[in-house]
Amino acid sequence: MAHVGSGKRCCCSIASPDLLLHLAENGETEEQRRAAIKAIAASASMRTQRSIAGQVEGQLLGEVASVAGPAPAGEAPQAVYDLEGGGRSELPGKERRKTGEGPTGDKPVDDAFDATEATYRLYRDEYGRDSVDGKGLELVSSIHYSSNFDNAFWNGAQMVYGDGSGHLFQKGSLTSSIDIPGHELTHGVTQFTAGLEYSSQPGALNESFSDVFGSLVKQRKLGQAADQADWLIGAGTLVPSIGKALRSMKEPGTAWSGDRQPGKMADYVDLPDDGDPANDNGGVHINSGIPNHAFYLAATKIGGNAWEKAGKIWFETLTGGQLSSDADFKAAAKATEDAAAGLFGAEGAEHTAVAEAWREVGL
Amino acid sequence: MLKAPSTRPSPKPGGKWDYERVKVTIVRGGGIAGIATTTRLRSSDLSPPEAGELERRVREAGLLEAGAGSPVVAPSHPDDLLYSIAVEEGGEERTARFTDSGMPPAVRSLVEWIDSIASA
Repeated sequence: MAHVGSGKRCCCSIASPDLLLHLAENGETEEQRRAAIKAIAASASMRTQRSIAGQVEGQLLGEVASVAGPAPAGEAPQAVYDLEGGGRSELPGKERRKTGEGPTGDKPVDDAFDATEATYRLYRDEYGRDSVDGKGLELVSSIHYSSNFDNAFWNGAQMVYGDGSGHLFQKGSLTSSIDIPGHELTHGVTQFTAGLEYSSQPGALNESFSDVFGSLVKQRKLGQAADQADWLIGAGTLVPSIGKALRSMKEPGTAWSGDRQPGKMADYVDLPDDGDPANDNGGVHINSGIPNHAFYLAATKIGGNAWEKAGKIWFETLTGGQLSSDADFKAAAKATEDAAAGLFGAEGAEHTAVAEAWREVGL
Repeated sequence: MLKAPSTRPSPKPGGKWDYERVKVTIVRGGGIAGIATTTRLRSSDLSPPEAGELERRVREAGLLEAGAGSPVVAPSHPDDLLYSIAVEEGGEERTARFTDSGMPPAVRSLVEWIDSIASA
C-alpha cells in the first residue's frame, strides 16, 4: 500500500486511485481532501479521464451530488465508451450509448450497458444504495481496451473491459457474463466503503464481496433462488479446455483445471504478497474461496432469494462501518454475525445460519 | 547487453541462422481470474526477421538494463494484472515486474507483439 503523508505535503503522486479517493472523502482537513482530489485529476493513469475525474471531484466536494436521500427511480446513470483497442491514456474513448438511449445492436456495448444496469438496480432497489459511491456517480464503462486483453477492471473511477484473447478468456465473454461487471463494480463499492486492503486476508475478503454481489446480480436477473443458482463466477468465460468458470462458491476448487481455492480454513493457502504474479497479492483470488463458501452456506441455510436476506447481511457488513480495512476472516465472520443480529434479531434463524456457515468453514 | 544488429552472424551452412539466443518468458497473474499464465518466446525459434524484431523490441523496452521494472510491484486497483518478464541472453537472466496499470509503452508493445507471434 502506498504511503500518503498527512498535512500539507501530501505525497499523492504515488498513491493508488482508491487510496486517493478514500482520502478525498475522508481526509482530515479540507486541504488534504482537495490535494487528494487534485492528485486524482493529475495522476498519469487518469490524466485523460478529465471528464470522469471532474465528475468525481464535483461529487466528492458536494458540488453536484445532493446529500444522501432516497435513491432515484429510473435507469442507472451510465455511459458506455469504445476505446477501439486503445490504452489507459485514451480513456474513456468514444461514446457509444448512455442513459435513456436504446440498444445499439453492437453486442459488447449493449452487454456492458445491461450488466451495469442490473448491478446498479441490485444495489439501489434491494439495498437503497445509489451507485458505487452511494451518491449517484455516473457509471462509465470503456470496452475494447488494448488488444486481445484478458481482463476487466474497475480502475478507481470507471469500468474497463478487454475483449479476451481466445486463449484464456473467450472473446467477448468479459462483457457478456453479467457477474463479471457485477464483481468489478463491487470493487468500486468496497473502495467507497470498507476500503479493504488488497492483500492476503483483507484482499481475499475484498475479492469475496465482489464474487458475492457479482453472483447476486446474476441470480436476481435470472430470478433464481439460492437452491437454484449455479454459484459459479464467470461461467462460460474461460475457453472450455481450461474450465467451466473462474470460481465456484458452492464447491471451491472445482471451477477450472488449476483451481486450488479452499473452502475451509484448514486448507488456507498461505502465499506471500511479494509482487510475483503467481502469488496473486497473497492469494486474494485463492483464499476468497473460504468466505465465498461461507456466504453460499449462509444463503442456502436461510433459503429463498439469496440477495434478499443473506445479501442484505453482507451489504450491511461491507458498508455499515464495522469492517476495518485490514479485517481478517475472523473479523468478517463476527461482523456478518453482528449484522445478521442487527437486521433480523439475535434469536433469528438468519443469525443462526450465518454463525453456522462460518463454523462449517472453520471460523 | 544485446549486441548491435550489425554484429549479427551470417547464416550457418545449410541456411540456418545462428542468432543470439534471446528467450523471453512472460508470467501473468492477478486480474479478475487470478490465473497465472506463462508465455515463452525464443529468438532461435523465429524466422530471421522475427528474431531481429524480438531483439529490437527487448532493447527498446530496456529489459536488460539494471533497474528495469521493479522487484516488488503493487496493484493500483483490485484485479490489476501483474506481469513478471524474464529475459535470458548470453547466459544471463534478468527479471522485471510490472502492473498493467504501470507498464511503460515500450514494454506493453513488446508483450503485445510476443502475444501476436506466440498465438499465430
